[in-house]
Amino acid sequence: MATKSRSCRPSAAGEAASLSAKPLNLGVVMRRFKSPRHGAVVAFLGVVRDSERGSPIRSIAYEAYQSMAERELGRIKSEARTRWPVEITVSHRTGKVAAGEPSLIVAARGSHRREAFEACQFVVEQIKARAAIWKVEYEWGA
Amino acid sequence: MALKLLFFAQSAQWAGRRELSIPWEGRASVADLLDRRPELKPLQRHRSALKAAVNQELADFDTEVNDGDEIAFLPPVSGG
Repeated sequence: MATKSRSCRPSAAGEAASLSAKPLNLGVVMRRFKSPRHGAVVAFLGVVRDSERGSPIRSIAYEAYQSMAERELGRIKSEARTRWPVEITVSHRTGKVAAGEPSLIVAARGSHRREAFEACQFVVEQIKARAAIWKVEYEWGA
Repeated sequence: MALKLLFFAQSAQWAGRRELSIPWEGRASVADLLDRRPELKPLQRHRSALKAAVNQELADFDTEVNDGDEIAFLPPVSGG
C-alpha cells in the first residue's frame, strides 16, 4: 500500500528516511546530527497536543503519500540549503502518535545561530504547507 | 491504457477506497477521469478542496495522463 512507511530506511545518499512509523527520539537524532564543525544546532519538535478544539485527545494518526512526501521533504531541505549555509535533518511520523509524543523533528546545523534558527523555522513552515502528510484520525478521550 | 489512482486521507473516505486501477481508451485529463468514471463521482463535490498529483508531482486538473501514470487525489495537507 502506498501509505505504508518504512522506518529508518537508508536513502541512496545514506541518510535515514524522513518518514518513520516508529517513535521519534530527539536524542538519537542529535547524536547522529550534531558535529564539532557546527557551532549552532537548532531543533524543533512538533508534539501531539492532548486536546483539540477544547476536547481531550489520546492520539493522532498520520498518513503520508510516502514517495511524494519524501521527495518534497528533500526539496524543502535543498531550498533551505540554498538560502542559508546549513544542513538539515527531518523526521516525520506516520501512523498513530500518542499525545505528548513528537510527530515531527526538524534540526538545522550551521556555523552560527541565526542561520540555524531561520532555516529550521523555514523548513517547519514549508513542511506544514507542502508535504503530502495528513492527520487522518483523532482518538478522542482523556 | 491503464491508470493507477490513489486516494489519501479524506479523499479515501470520499471515494470509499484507497486505490483503483482502471483501463482507459483515448486521451484523458485528470478532470476527464473525475467527470467520467463513476467511482470518482463522490469526489466531485469536494473538487475545490482537492489537489491532484500525477506521478508524485502536483498537477492541474487539465493535465493529460498517460499509460501507466499514477494519479493521486490529495486533500489539503495537515502534517507537522
